[in-house]
Amino acid sequence: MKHWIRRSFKTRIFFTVLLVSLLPLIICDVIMLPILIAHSEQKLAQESAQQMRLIQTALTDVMDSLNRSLRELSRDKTVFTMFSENSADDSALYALLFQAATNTGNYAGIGLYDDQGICRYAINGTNLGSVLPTDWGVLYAAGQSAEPVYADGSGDTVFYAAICVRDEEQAIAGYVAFSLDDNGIDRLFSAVNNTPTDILLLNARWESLYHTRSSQGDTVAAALRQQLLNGEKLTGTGGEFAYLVEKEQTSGFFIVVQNPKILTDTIVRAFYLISILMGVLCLLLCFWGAWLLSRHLSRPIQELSHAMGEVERGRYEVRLRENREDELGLLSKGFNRMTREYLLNLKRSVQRQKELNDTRLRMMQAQLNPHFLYNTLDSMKWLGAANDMPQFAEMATDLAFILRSSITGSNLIPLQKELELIEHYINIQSIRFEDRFTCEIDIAERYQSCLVPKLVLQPLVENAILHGVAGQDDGYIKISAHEEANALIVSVSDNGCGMPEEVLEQLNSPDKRILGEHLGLHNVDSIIKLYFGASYGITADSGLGRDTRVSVRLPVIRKEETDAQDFDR
Amino acid sequence: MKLNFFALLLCFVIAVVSSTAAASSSADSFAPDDNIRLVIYTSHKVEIYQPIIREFEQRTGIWVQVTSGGTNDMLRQIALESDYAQADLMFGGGVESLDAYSDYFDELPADIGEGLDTHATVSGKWLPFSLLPVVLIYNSKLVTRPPESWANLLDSRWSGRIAYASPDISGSSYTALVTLLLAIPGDDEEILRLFYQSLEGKVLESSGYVVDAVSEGDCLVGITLEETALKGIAAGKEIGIVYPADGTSSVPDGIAIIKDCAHRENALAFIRFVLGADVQRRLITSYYRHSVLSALMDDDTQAQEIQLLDYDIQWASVQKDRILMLWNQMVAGE
Repeated sequence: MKHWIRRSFKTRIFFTVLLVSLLPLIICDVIMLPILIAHSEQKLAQESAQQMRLIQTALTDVMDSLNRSLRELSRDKTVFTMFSENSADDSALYALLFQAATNTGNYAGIGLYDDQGICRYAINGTNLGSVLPTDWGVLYAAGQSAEPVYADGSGDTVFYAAICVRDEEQAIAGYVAFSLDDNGIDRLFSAVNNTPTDILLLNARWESLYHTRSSQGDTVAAALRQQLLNGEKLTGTGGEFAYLVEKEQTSGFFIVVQNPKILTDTIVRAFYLISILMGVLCLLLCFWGAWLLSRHLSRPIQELSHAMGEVERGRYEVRLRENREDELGLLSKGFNRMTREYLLNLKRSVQRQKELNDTRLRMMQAQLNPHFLYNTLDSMKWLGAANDMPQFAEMATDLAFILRSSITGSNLIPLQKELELIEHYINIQSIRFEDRFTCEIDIAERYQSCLVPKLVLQPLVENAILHGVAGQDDGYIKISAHEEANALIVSVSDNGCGMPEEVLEQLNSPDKRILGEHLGLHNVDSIIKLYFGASYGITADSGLGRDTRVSVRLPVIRKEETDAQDFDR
Repeated sequence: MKLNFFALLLCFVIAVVSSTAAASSSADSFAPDDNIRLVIYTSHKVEIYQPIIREFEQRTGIWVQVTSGGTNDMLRQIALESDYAQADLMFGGGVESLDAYSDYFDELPADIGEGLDTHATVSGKWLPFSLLPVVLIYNSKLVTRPPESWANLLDSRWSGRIAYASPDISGSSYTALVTLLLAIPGDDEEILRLFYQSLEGKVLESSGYVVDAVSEGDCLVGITLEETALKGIAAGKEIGIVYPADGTSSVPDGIAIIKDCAHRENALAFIRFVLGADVQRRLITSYYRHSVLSALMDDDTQAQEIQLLDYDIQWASVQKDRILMLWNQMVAGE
């Protein structure tokens, strides 16, 4: 369960919200209701206990006075004489009985019964001449005891209290009996109970003697007795009353105080029912709310997670909805922006790759033509030799060399190789210009091995021939090299017609874009700058009608240094 | 941490609930110990059993729990509970019914039946409690010459005017039918047929209606228990009683201890009490019944007047199915 809840963000939110909203309700139901009920029961129990003390005191007072009077009467000479000799002073006897009635609060009728159970003297409602059986009920019980006895009443009498009068041989001479009817007990209890409390009087075996609502007394008493014997809580016939029971010590009777419950079982049941219904309602609401909230929060995240998965599978065009303004909306927008950028980058990258492939293709195509030309030149060389045209053969050989050099080998070559290429070029131009110029290469041995970009000097020499010495008969070109501040300066000088001022300015300015016919120089400058940076390149020194010198400034790189630094780009 | 919180909450709830339970009042301290308890099933009416039981309680201090109901219901209940006896004593019910359920009752000590009249048949499993003679009643205003014997009932004078409850429904009615069959000499089935003819199909639903049917003049004569008739007279009904000259039955109701009961000693004390002179005397003085004590029978002048025939409980029990079948055939063949 725990694992299941923790596995999903949605269920976590869902159960957290559910718990937070339901816990107070459950606490309220489980704790508050019992406290409320207990409190009301306690309050009632306290009130009942207070009433019980009053009732118990009153009843015990009466019972004690009955006991005292019974004992006094049983020992009284007048009474004894009446029983034993069957004669008495009636007025003295009645005076005695009235005195006893007063002493006991006038609640009870009093009768003197002879040994046959016939009533000989009676006051306060007891009938003269009435008979109580001596083998049954109260007189039987009194005959079995020397002390006052209490027994269930019969007819209107609620209970009897009686004592046996004995002669010297302990034989039964007669009985003294007090009888209490409903009236007497009503008076007794109404003196101490002016509340709507009901009072039951039970005998020692919890059988009904008296009840302030006499019509229900027997049913309630029977129910209470059954509950007592079954060891159940005393709830009576319904759940509407609370009961408190105390024993009256003198008679052994039980007093039951019956008070209507503040919270009857019906109300308590209704409370529980309502709280259960509320609980169910809240549960449903919480369920619904928690579900909505968890879905509201988790859906964008699920969508994001799903979109991530799509992106992982390469579908970069996936987009999240951007209809929210909160943090999750920002997250969605961020995701969309990210995928858009990524897609754009990808397109660029693809484009570049495509361009690269095109370039490679073109390069390969470009390589195809020189090979073909080279092979043709080679054929022309042999053709020239075969047809005795040495200059033709020589030109073809030189051109083939130049061509081969230009398409093979690395882009950086030793200066020595470049100079070889220059020599072949000059050979061709010498034939073309019928030896009207001479060229001198004056480069120290130590510079021969310096690496220079391929074909970097050829355009300079070409420039010197075509724009310098072309129109002269004694043209002179000199190629020299020197080192200056750790840079190799290779210069091509000529004694030609000089360079126009604007071309010179262009050559010496950083921006060499507009060089017109001197495109070769521009290319050389560009190549050098590309390879070595802006501090290297071409400079020119000339003027119209003067000697011209064009120099290239290169870093001094010996052949061995190329092992550590790759310029072959 | 989470667990601790819930544990704390649980403790709190338990504390609250238990304090609530403690606040409720308990009267356990007043409940009697098991050794002063007795559980009685009775088929007697409340006006009979209640004073007797209360007096018993007063004298012994034993708490009696009573469940009352029809004889057959109570006996069936006892049979149902035979594995775990809920009651200690069956108080009431015709002894032939108790005899039929004797498997569920315990053997009684021999001395407990001493002093009982020999007429009240004594078994080892049950004892008789009181005698209930079957009598004839008549409307004292309408009938000047009442029937004297069972045989007189077959006289055409009473045809269709006899109040008699169905023996199929009422136990006492069946006893009366058997008594009639025993009292009138001749073939059982023939006498039964003649008696049924005398009724002219008029059979009451319950034995409780017999006295009223006679006293209200609906019927002239009736067959019922002496107790019922005497109670009717005491209540001012216009009826007279005839103790049949050709003899009547006096089948006792009984008392028995249930097998494996929890309070056997108290049950025995109760039997001794109800078979004691004090209770048996009250049967005569207060309950319109007759005592089973031979000592008291001598004082019971009424009982001495009754001509008893030799009613065989065993025979009545054995023949019950046959007689009732014949009866039902006649009812159906009408």
